[in-house]
Amino acid sequence: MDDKFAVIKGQYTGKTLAAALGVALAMVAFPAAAGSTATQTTTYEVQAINEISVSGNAAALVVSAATAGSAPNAVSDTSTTYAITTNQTNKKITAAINTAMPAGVTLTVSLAAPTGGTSAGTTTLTATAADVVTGITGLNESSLGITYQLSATSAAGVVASASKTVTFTIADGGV
Amino acid sequence: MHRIGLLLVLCWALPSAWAADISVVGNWTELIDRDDLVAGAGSDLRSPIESAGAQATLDISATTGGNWTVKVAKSDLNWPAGVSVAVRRTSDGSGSGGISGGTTYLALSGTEQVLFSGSGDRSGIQVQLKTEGLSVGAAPDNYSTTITYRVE
Repeated sequence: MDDKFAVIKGQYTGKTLAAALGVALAMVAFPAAAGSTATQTTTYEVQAINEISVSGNAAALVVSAATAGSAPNAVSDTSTTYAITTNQTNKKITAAINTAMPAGVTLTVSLAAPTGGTSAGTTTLTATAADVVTGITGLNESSLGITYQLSATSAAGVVASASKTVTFTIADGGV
Repeated sequence: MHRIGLLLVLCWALPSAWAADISVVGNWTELIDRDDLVAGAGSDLRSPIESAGAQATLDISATTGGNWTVKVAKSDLNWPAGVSVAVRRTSDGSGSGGISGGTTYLALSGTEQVLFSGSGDRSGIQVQLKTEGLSVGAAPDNYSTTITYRVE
């Protein structure tokens, strides 16, 4: 009995010594593990960005000629462009004019689509916003073409010169 | 005999185990909005975006006058791909000993890199941060990364 106890005690002492030596050696071999640390957090919040601008005003559109037997010739203007930046997904551009066009006179617009977007093509402008480009996601592009066209029926007669304000808006939704 | 040997090893090892302490005060939070576009509609976000020169302050203590090295790494919590964050030292701080290195931006990664080194206790070491590569391709969100400084 005494002999067994002595053997067990001896093993325990040996393990304790080995563990202590292991810790001591680890402290020598890996002093870097004792280095102190401090942390900081870098955070940035990206807010929704939806910006659109046009290069300027379109040239005056004047309907003044016709082929005999046909409606007056439509006229168009491609002198302006637009630029867009958005960091959101699935946005669209709508267009509207401030007041309705006179009877028999139609103003249309067509916008070139930015990469990934879809142009609605020639769209008649009214006081109610209409989609002109859809499916716009996370991009920034400029010098995108705008085409206006003015047409009039013969029945419209002579219409006094007037200006319209076209408002382009980036909105949610689209295809 | 074994106990005598153990004591000798421990006495030799203890000085190596003394660790300097490092603390940092100051996080960096940046709000990115339309005003950060380079030139309005059609343009992208400006880059790089830098923090203030003294965005955070580091103190190093308990050095017992010895030499030390500060290493730094980042751990992304929610950080967009292609956007880097870098740090540089903008002041020497004050105290005994000296300090060198780290005055040019160091792009951070998940692997520790040496930022600067020195000796003795120093306090008020200022650092500046910057990010590069942020674009409107990153959706509106809160993006965070944790920067860990370690002194050894």
